[in-house]
Amino acid sequence: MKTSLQNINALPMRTWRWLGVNDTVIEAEVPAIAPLANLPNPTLPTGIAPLASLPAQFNTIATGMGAAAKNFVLEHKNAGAALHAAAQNGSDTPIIYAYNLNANTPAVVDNTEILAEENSQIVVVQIVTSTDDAPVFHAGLTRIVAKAGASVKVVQLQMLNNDATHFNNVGVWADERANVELVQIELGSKRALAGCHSVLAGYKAHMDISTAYFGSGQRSQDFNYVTQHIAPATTSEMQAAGALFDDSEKIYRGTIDFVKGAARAVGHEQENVLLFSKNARCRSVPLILCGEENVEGQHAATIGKVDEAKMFYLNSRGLNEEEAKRIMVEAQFAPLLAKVPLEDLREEIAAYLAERMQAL
Amino acid sequence: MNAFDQEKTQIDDVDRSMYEQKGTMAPKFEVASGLTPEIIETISREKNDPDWMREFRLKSLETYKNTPLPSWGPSLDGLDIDNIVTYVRPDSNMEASWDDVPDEIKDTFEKLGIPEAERTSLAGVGAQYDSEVVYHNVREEVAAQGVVYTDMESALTGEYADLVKKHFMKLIPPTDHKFAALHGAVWSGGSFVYVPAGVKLDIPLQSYFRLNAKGAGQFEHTLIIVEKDAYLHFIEGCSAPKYNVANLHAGAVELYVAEGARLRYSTIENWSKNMYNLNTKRAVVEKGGAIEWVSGSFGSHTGCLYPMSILKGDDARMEFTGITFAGNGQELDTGAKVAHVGANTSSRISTKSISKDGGSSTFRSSVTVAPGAHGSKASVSCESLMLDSESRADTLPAMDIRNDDADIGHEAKIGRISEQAIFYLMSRGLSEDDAKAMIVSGFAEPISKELPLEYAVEMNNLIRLEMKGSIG
Repeated sequence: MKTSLQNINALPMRTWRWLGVNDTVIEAEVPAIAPLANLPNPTLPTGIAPLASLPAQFNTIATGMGAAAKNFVLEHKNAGAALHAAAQNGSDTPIIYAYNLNANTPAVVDNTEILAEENSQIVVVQIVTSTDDAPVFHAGLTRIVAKAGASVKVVQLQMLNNDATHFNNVGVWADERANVELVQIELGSKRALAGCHSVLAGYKAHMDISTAYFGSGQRSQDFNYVTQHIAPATTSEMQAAGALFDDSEKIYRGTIDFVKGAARAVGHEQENVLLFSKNARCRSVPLILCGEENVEGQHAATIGKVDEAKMFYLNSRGLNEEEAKRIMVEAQFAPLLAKVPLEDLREEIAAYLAERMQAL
Repeated sequence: MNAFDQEKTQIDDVDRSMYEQKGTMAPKFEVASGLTPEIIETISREKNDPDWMREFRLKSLETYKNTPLPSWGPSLDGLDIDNIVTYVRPDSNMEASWDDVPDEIKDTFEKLGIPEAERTSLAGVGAQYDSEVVYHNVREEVAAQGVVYTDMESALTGEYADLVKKHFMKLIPPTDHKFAALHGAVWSGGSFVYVPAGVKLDIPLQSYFRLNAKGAGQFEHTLIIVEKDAYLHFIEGCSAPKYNVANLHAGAVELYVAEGARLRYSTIENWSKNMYNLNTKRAVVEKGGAIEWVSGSFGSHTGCLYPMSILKGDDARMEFTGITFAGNGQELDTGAKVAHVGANTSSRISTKSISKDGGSSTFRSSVTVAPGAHGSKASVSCESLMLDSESRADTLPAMDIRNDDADIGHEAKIGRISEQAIFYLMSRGLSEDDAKAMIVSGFAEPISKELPLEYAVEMNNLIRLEMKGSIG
């Protein structure tokens, strides 16, 4: 199925067209999206149950990648989950949904809804991997409503093959004192896109977004994050760490939007990129939009090659260039990988990274 | 404290009386409003253009008609080009002595302090009134060094005609954007500066642009060539009285900085608040050369201004220091662009913006590093200050890096005036307004210290005036 999705990952405020960052399109030859034979069916911890009926609020949640990406998933979904964490209940035990894509299961389109009631807790991990080199397609939509005092953590881990097209589209609504954390580890795929739009609607709501990306070969990666501070004293963090090799390219858009009325809101954004190739292309667009006087907003980006002094030190310690680079990349990702629950998973990621580094 | 208290009563708008004087002298000639090939032909005939320029204008008009409005940036809905008079010739010739300038026009420039500044601190002055330059003069000892400072019309037909033709709208082609095309079609006035190799001018040249006519446009063209190892500081000033209809300024500034040369280009823009300021400025810098921009944006209803530096030669440098103050009813979209092309090029963009009384300021920038720009360094730092929650301050930087041997840093901050600082100053006897004005002046200090003293004083006065408009 030839698919073309327009106006994806659109910047909330447009800039010069020649930069090519205002938005993007997804052009993909999507394999047949068939019902999946073995849907993951994790045991749900106490206090968490399938969501019986979807509250209308979910339909109004904006997503980072935009309407076209959202509607595609709603129309074509063949996987996913709807989870409900009961008030004053829930668990920090990760609920894992893992999808393995290959020639037999070339397309997974998953739709996930998470409703966390007051003071509840839930941790969800979504993993997509591939076992062969077949062209595969993954599209994900995750919408989260965190009621007052709820704590929600979603970890998305993508380690697809070189011929994959993939996107993860997230939308968040956070009420008073809710705490939502999103970790996106985007390591594979030929073309990978991700985005999150979050609304901090209640007093002291907090949003934390971490992104790790790894580009090599001809990979192209495209990100769009928008955190909207609506209520007073809301706080947000946005961090990204990336490494680009070969002919890879990436666009990272991060927007902190302080809406009038969000007094005493604080938002920070930081992106660190290591460049390892003269052919890589790195575009960054960190926005702060502000309509409220009493806020504190900050963003910073550092983009550059590996510090020569560090390389020299590692070489002097007997490491060759390849090993030294591997250590630098591991160090770059370490703070973000530490946010991934479960030791096994962290090891799996480290092994995948090592393999990718080896193939460079 | 009484005197301060009285001053604190609400003032709706700032005192701009020195800028507000409206000339009543009838123009010698003006074209009908709007844009047609006939109007362009008329302008061209009036200005005795060479043939190539007439054709250039007509071609630019075509480009203008075929180019859509930008899909980003502030709304231009209030601007109807069919209502803009593109060419207004004042009833005056170009003079080299203020005594020969008609009294009323001279009086306007006197009030703006231009002849005074010329006597005390400038190497030369150009003054444009509506579409034509009415005064141009350069000190003898400067001219003796081979420095050429004249109006564009004279340059176009005089001994530098070939040089002008070679450079005119080569850096900013009419195809660049809609208002560059408009400029190509209707440009008039502006200055031509040529600084020969090795000549270092230690006092600045200044051109002042005054748009007096109601509902008119000003489209001056500034072309500066600084030859090898030369140095120039050029100051550009602009203002207009306020009318209740839209005025348009779409000038173009093209700067050529040769090997080892340095050019400092300072602007204090204070157009009236009915002005659409859609100006384009661009510099190309050869090996080891440097461009330094100092840019203050205070006036205009709507402004789009992003001086661009193309660091073409190895080791070329650029520095951009800017301040934008958006008050009531203003939407100022400003910033800078830099393209690193040569190896070991470096750039530093540092801006401050202030938003107040419903004003909206946007910082917009782009830093591009080409594959061949090895060893390049770029840093961007922008800071915004919000004085109330009726205003807006948006920050929209972009970086496009295509080279691993580059060192790119970016920092942006947004915040408010600290209440503690206000409290402290008030405890020292200052009114709240004065305390805020002092803090804002401090915020703007990195920019004012880049300006020659007189202009730093003018900028601080502008800040004070703007701050007094606040609701205490």
